[in-house]
Amino acid sequence: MATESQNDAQSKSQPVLEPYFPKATEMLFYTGNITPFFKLLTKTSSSVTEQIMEYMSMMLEKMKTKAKADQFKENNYVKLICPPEDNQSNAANGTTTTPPNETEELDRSDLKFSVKIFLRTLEPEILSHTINTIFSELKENYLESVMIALPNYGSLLTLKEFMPLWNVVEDFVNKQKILSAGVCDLMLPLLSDIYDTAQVKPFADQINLGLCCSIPEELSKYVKEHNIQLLTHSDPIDVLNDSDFQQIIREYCHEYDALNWKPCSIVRYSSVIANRGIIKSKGFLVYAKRELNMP
Amino acid sequence: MGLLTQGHPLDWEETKKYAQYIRDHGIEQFLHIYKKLKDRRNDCLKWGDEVEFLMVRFDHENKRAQLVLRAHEILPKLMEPEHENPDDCTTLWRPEYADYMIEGTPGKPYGHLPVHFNMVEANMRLRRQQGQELLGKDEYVLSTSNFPRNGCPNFTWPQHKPTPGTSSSASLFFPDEVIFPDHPRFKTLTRNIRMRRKSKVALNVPIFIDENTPRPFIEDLSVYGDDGGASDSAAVEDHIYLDAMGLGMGCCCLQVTFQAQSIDEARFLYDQLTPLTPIILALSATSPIWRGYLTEIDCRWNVLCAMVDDRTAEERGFEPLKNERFRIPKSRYSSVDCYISPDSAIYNDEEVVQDADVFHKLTENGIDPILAQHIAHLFIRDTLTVFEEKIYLDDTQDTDHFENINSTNWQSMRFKPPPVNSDIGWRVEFRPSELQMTDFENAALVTFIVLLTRAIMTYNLNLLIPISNVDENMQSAQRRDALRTEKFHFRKCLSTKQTPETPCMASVQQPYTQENECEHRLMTINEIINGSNEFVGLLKIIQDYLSNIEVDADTRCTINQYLLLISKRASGKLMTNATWMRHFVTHHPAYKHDSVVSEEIAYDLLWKMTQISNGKEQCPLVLPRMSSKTTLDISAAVETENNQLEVKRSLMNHQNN
Repeated sequence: MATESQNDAQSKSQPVLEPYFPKATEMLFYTGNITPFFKLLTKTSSSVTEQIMEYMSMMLEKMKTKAKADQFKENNYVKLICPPEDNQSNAANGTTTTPPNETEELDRSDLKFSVKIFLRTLEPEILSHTINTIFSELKENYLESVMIALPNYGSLLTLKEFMPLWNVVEDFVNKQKILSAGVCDLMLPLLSDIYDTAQVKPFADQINLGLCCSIPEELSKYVKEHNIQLLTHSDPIDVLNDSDFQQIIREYCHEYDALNWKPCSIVRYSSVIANRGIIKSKGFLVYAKRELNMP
Repeated sequence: MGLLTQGHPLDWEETKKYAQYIRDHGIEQFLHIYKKLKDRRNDCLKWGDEVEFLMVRFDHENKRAQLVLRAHEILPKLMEPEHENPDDCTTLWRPEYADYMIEGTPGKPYGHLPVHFNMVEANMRLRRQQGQELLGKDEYVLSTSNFPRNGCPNFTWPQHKPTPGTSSSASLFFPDEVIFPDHPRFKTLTRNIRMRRKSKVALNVPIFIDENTPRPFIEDLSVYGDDGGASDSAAVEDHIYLDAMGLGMGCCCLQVTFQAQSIDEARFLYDQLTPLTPIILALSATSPIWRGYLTEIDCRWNVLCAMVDDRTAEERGFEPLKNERFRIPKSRYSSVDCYISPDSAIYNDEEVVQDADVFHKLTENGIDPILAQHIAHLFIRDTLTVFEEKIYLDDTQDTDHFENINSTNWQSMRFKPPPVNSDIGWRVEFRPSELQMTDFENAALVTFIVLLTRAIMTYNLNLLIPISNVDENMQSAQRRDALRTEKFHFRKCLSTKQTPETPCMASVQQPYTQENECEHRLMTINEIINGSNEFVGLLKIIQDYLSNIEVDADTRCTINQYLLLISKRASGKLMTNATWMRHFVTHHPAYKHDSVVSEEIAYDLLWKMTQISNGKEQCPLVLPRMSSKTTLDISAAVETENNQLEVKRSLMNHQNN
């Protein structure tokens, strides 16, 4: 965790007398474009978990200092969104060298959006809601590539449990909202079962190579024969668990605000300038739900 | 390779007369290109590497290795595919200065797909094989910057004796017959450099003093012939005397060229890569042995600077200025003297010698002062070759005169305007890297540099430090074992972005640079590459970039191997080629600890390098055990996906319009 500055300590330590969102049963964090804030000063890598928790902290802090006291009091669905103006204005100052791609005009056809959805539940409605949220928050009409990651790297997952999720994705593909869809961490025989059953074939399988480069021979052969790309990731098995999520909220808000939350899906998206391999934007969304025992 | 205009070169007296003419028309041509193409935008980021190979003949019976002079025979065959099918070759070939050198590039430039990084090594290997196929028994293609016994007696096959009285270089060591014979450019340059300078080129490289090295070390140069006393005055004790263009231009290097999206991006890349030139030079050091002696340097760079130095004594400051226009601190082969983007002006802290008329002509025609300064600096140099058929050109259609000067400024970076009548864009050439003995290592260096440029552009990084510090670094980089023992000026904070006001972020990104605090400090190569508690490290930046790009497993594997190599080199866990060569020599049973690398030792060293580069032997001191997954085939899946995606996206864009 980051070392605390004075302000941070103050706002954390001041006792929060009342819950900010006592009626909330759904919550969304959306970081907006974080590429301007690339952390360059420390050698220690921060994991994707640490990154997300840091952005959540930032947004909760902002909520506390800038939001009106009772803004979320009646909300069932709390959305914490980093406003785009903030990102840009913070990023614009103090550059000695202005790289040319800052000032160029890009249109949608220059960009390629890639999205990875980390599901922590197998409910198709959650996936559906997540994808719709991505479209509405990013304000995009279509996404080039969407990868679906399942809980526990998909171990113990059955075809029966998987297909309803994939059907959600196929729907979007058929409507041309998603151009290519893929899976993560799936091995044989599940991968081949899915391939045989699915109407829209997965274009890629994204696996964690670790530090060694041994790709299972069988898998390698299968993907070559079926024109599936084997991509790589270094994401952990569980990107954000219940207690991490609740802990962050607890640090900035009332005890009651942190109660019972379960992150259902975490999304990482990025856009790349298609022909040049330069990352244009990157961000996270976290969607969580909870049950409350209301009086 | 440079400009290979065909035709008949003028002699020096005639060439001299055209100095101002070439200058004037070169600038006209530049202005024309600039006005016509300054707004050209190229959608794709393209890049490619250039490898220069040596050809060596091994005499196993007599334990002797010699440079074999066959480029003129095999190049026509190597170039056949290009003549038959110019749009469809996997490799392209060009001659280079010496008849033992062949230069190869990939047939098509690489682009934005991550999978291209997996092809670099395979294409380099293919080039090696293509050259190898045309050679005879006991003849091998080798990749290393400097042949250790270049300039020693009988260092070539066929053997030739230097004729200092009559040759183009007047060298005691390097015969004219070694120069590539089938193009007049190389001999002409050699002779004209000497004639303009009014003396032979000369450099004294400090010898590595070992236990039994004679003190003082004085070489009896009279055994090499009579050069009219030049060596008597130029040679220095405890140094190795070098006196020929071939001893420099006969070295091989590894270059990377980028095609930028726009002229602005090209200028940006040129500047950002400049502080990296000494770092890469140190990482790739591969030249510790010169004319058969162990020396105190590990790199070729300063040797090259001196071996094509056409400055007269006045220009070099040894005589008062009378006939020449300027005092010029550096050779026309040297590290860059200034940054070229407007925002970089504050880092140009060295005086840049410029042709004032050129500068004014350029600024009058709308070119900003920073770019004008760069061009005006390049154009202080006189032309060294003029071809009689190519004097009177249409300046709106030809760029030969501009290239005449631009391509005979051999600097650590080169800014290359587009050729007329092509759709090639504004390009930048990265030139300092030494050539490693294996394709794996060379591909690793190229990949590292290209990935770094992507990360710099993605994260809007700024690596700039004052140009005087870059110059200091260039000198530090070449010293013996610089990678492990020297420190280099490097920028402390590479981010250009202001921190947002939230406390959380503020605590992470402290304002390192207060008002008068220096933006850079001294770091070891290890710290620059691998980072420390205070500095992020270039590898981490690259890893972060890669984690945000969809990379296929094989390519990721290959890239991991390359980055691991760079990391281990930087930390000293693996030796540079130079350190390993010293190690090999000093542990050789025949070595007498007198700094001499005899024929036998050189033979064993070069044979070992050949075996390593062909995969027949390991070299755990220099290379990791695992190899990459490089291949020339882009898998069908990637091709399909890429094509389908392009089709879908253009459909979508049509719909949305």
